[in-house]
Amino acid sequence: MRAIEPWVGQPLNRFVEESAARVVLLMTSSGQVIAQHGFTRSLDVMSAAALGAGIVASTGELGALLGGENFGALVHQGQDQGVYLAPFTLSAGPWIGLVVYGAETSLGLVQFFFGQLVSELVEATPTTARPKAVLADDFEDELDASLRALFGE
Amino acid sequence: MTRDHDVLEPLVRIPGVRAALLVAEDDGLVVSEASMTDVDTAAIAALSSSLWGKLRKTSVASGHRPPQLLQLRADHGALLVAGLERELLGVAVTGDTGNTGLVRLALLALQRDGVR
Repeated sequence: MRAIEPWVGQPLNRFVEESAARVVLLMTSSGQVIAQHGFTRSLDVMSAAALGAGIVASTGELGALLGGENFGALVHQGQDQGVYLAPFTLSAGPWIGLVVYGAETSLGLVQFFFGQLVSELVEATPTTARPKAVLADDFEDELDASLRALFGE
Repeated sequence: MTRDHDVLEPLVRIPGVRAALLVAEDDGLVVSEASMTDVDTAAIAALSSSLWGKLRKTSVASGHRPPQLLQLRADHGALLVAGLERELLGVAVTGDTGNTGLVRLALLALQRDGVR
């Protein structure tokens, strides 16, 4: 497990242990990766984050078209594994969790422990945490630092 | 009230039963439920189906047939789980005063008669 925000580490580790999820990605609603577990390549994680954020944005717009209500979690169940994609809100802003799980666990367990993860993140969010400008002057340095934090490269 | 919900009626009528659920065995999701308001049925469904899966694997790995009924006694009540047809589980949660004997009988009747 690797995280850009250190306070995310403990709750996420607990979630991975308890839910037996194969892959977990926490990101902001714009697709900026906050933490990941199970990915080995930076390209994969960036693509998954962008696609996950895109799906949540699309379903949000669909919800607005169909009556103004946001959808909750989205589940795609495959033959060998499933994807659980859920938006949630912290004081730091709207985040998204993407969880890939297999036959060693169940959707019910993933859903249950994800709820606990969100509660723990709400508790753990530093009160001083403020979202940074996406295109700050030191954008490239921050991007490199984030990739090092996520992949140890 | 759905037909599946009707199936739970004999369970919830037993004194001391705090929740009765039909749970999808593979997903651990609630299919139908009848419960007191303070019972987290989604959590019970997820955790009891996981427990049932582990028990079944252990039972088969040790050369026995799959389990029929699981009864977990706790400080202030009990959890009872029975494997049903259509890959469903019948789950009941009792409080301190719950009559687990009657709950077992009701779950076994559900197992025998089916949920249709």
